[in-house]
Amino acid sequence: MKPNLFYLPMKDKELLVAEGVVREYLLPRQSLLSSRPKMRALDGVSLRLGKGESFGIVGESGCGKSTLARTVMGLEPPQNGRILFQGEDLYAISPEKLKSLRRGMQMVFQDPYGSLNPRHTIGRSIAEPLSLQENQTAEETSKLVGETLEEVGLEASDASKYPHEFSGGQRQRIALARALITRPAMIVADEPVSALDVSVQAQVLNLMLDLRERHQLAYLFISHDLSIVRHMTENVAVMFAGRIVEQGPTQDLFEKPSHPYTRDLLQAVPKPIPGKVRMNSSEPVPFQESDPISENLNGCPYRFRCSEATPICSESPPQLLPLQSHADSKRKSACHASGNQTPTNH
Amino acid sequence: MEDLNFSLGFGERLGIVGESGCGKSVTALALLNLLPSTMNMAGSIHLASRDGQTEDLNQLSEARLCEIRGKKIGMVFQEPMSALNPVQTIGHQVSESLLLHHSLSRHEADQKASRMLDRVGLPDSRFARKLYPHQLSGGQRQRVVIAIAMACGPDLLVADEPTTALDVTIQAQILRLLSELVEEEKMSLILITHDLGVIAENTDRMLVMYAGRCVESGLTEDVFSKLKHPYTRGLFEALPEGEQQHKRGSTRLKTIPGRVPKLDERSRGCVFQTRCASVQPRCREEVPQWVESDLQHSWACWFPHEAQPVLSSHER
Repeated sequence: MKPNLFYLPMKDKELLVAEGVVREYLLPRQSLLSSRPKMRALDGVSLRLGKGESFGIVGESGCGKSTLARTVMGLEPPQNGRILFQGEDLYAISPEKLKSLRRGMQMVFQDPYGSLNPRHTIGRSIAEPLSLQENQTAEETSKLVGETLEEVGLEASDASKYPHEFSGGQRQRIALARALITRPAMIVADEPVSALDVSVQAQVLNLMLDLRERHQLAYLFISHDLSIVRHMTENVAVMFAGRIVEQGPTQDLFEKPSHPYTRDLLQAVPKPIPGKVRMNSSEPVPFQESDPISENLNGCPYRFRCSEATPICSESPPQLLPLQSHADSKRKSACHASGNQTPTNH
Repeated sequence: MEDLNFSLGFGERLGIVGESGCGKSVTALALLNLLPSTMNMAGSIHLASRDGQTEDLNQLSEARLCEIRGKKIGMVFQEPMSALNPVQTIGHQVSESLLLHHSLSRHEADQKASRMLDRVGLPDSRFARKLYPHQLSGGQRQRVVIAIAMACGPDLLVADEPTTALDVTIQAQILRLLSELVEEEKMSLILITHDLGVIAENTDRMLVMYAGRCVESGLTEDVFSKLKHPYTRGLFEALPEGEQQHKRGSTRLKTIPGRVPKLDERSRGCVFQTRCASVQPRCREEVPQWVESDLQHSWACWFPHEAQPVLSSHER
């Protein structure tokens, strides 16, 4: 491992640390002679996830949620910044070491129809992560698969069935079983229930809560559904255009949102209370839709849609800093209007 | 799908809610008589026009139906990318139905299409009429789809999950646009969705569907406050923002156990019997009668809920 001057000592209970992660993608050339424009999918994202903690990430499509998930899973190297998992820098260690670390982190994907190989029995799909582990006999493996299936509420005999024999909710249970089989410390769940119906959604969320209690799992829970994140997590980060714009304990943040984007987002969620027609009372959500390429250049990425934008917002990008107005020092916000930005120029 | 009855007045907004596979989209297609030939439809669908005449869509010739579709009934689909033609400009796609249904010249149709696109929030200055769908974002594409559906000034707009593929902020804009259009044009709206929040904020009346049947219907406010049918109640309690919203982490959500029975698994009696918490022997034998209370609120359950509403204290 190469020495790193910026190494921050990791606290014992911390499982995952992301520091200033930048991930850029090259876009197609606009003209023959120009260089390819870059799009920053992640722009200096930092977060810390403790053991057994569940951390939510919310934001609209294209804000970098899924890129962050892939980056912390060691699947996409960041251009800048580091990801530490159990104290090891994922992108600086040897491939063998990474392979063994991967056992501790698993992922559950959104689409339960696309994430299971239709030609493999689910037993085979679930056992696949184990094949990276040396010396497991076939009996041991199938016993473990059976146990894991029972743990997610299916039957051990289901191992010989194929994915098409299961409903969406059951498939998501299978995906959870596949993630659990290596006894991970962390599961990254990228929109795990958004393809499911409400009643089935609740079943899978309950299962995730049970599993977390039983195995002291940490979740990085990514969703666009604010009510689900609110229900499932202790801490939450709100992302917009590749940056975390607000972060803090879930309950507090949702009750007292500070960043204008968080407020707009919460405002936009339709609430199942009839007669409380929100849309006439409040000011309209600004029409402008974002252009990620040009917006990231300078200033606050949200300024085009923000109802409180001032000239300073297009001059310097606000930093994610603790909010003084809140008693809870864990609350952070990146907004010039929140009064926590230092007056010095960046 | 079985035994579905509903009516809709001019300028009224009807919501249809239910889980996947409950028959919501089949209902939408049946309204336009667009069901695939493998499906049979019995019964009648009466469409009134503003001059007082009614027609049964199930009896009409295909040629007459083609006149009605797009002209009197507009349709907005869930997936704006697949609803638009990727190789035609947005201006052309909006003017297409105008050319077809009204005898307008190309130039007039283009002008009207352009005004329609202005109306849905795509002004010519920023969104040239010669743009192609791939140059627009999801929300912008859905606006184009709405412009197409609205172009001929239909009496009825059927929107099948119009915002499911969109972000909440964009969803709010699209729903607001639909509500405004309904109000301005005195148009009727059928809004099909799985999202109870969308129904609550955007409809006057609603139907709850389960396994091909309507299990509860009424004024949106009544259905939401009384939750007579155990399925409607279950849907509500499964929402993370229900009663338990103030606790977090380890709180469990209420669930509806099991899953929707497949077509070949349905036995006699109530369709919801396999998942109902308050199932009684009678439910397994007889299909529930349609019970109608005051104010058009009705439900299909032998043992409907009587107690106080669960959401009485739920305010945000």
